[in-house]
Amino acid sequence: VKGTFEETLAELEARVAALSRGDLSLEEALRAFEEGLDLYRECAARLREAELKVTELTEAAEGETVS
Amino acid sequence: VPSSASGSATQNLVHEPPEAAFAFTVTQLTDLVCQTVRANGALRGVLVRGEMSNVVVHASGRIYFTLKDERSQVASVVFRSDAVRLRFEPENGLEVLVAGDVDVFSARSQYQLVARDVRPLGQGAWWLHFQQVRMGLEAEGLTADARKRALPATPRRIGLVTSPDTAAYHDVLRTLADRWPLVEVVVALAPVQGDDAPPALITALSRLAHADIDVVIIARGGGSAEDLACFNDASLARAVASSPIPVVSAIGHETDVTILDFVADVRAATPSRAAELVAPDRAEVLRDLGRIRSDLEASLRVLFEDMRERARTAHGRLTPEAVLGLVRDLAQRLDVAFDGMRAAIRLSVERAQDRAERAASALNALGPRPTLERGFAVVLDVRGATVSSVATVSRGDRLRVVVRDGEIRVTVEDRKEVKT
Repeated sequence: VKGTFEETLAELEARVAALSRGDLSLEEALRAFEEGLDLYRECAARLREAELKVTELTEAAEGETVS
Repeated sequence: VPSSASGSATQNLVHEPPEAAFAFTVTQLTDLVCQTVRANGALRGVLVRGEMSNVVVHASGRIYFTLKDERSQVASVVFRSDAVRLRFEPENGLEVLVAGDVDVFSARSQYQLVARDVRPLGQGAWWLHFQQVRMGLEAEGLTADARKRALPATPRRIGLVTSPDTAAYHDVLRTLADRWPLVEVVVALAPVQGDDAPPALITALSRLAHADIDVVIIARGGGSAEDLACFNDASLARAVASSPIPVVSAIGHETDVTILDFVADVRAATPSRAAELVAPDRAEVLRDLGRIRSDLEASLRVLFEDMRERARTAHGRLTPEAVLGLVRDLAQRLDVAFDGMRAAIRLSVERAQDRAERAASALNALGPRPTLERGFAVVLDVRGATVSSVATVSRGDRLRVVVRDGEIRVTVEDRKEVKT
């Protein structure tokens, strides 16, 4: 399950922070870097491909219809 | 004739002159004046200007005031049906133009002005009403800067209150689609012009309050001051002020100011501008992302350099014995950590057991157990409810009698109430 854009971005920033602290082992560092790249691509793709979702609240108050 | 005699006694003693038969009663005189006044077309539909004083708004909805100038004054009244249509609050000292009819108030034989419409002179009714509403809200503290809430940096769901007929609807959606299409827009439609607009806008706002929204935009395209007047409504302003969600007002153009602007958390110059204020720009965020990516690569490069350097210096010292010592050290640290964890777990389990036992004995003392031990019984019906009155059972009911060591199932044969 993918998180929100903000959560994905936070994950990415966590990888950058961990890497820049410099206390990771080589394997951990490589993993953090690759995960970071994936998260970066995920964020960028979401930004480029997102389409605005518009929902209209109907007069019937509770019911929602998607237009 | 005694001078101190009362009026009625006097009348009885004095012979009535013959002309008394032709005298008006007071009511007849007043009726004649009244008919004369009403029949005179010049006194109907008059325009009178003057200053309002002695303004009284009666509970019935009628407004009484005295219209005066330097030398004269005339009692005036606005009946409820006309009073509700006034676009301002009548105030003492106000210079007004009154349109109405001259009439007679029979009970006092007083002529009065029945005002159909009252307009403030000089400032204009619209302006005055606007200032009165604004100052009223200010006095209630609803326009204070301290009340204004910050907008969320990246909203997930944006509420939009507007009409599909207004350009604002499309402006807001287009701007959001360009800048931050990750957001979901929940639209609550309402008319944005006319007398029906304020209650409909309030309803739309309250519906959004339950729709998991981060920020609400109330938007309308440009229009005349009259077109935008519904956004000067005091009850709409109060609804916005008490909204649990931050509200952005986006009414008309840069130069249009409405009451809504004073109570909203943020005033946007235009609907498009409102969309820019509530959502980040993805072009900017993409640039930030590019920077983050560079940081990622730079950090890895630094790490590589560091590793290479350490490998170079450690080269000579990396013997099998040294590696073995490192592994043993790690194993020992693991054991210590494991033991510590086990002790901690055992302690918390013991504490939990202790608490459970104490709770059980407390429950026991409060429950029916000690009573049952003494030979008493509890009677339960088929649903397991306690039977404490004969009124709740009937012949043939199956009951359970709970005693110290078990249950006895019984059927009701008869019941007898004992008066206490």
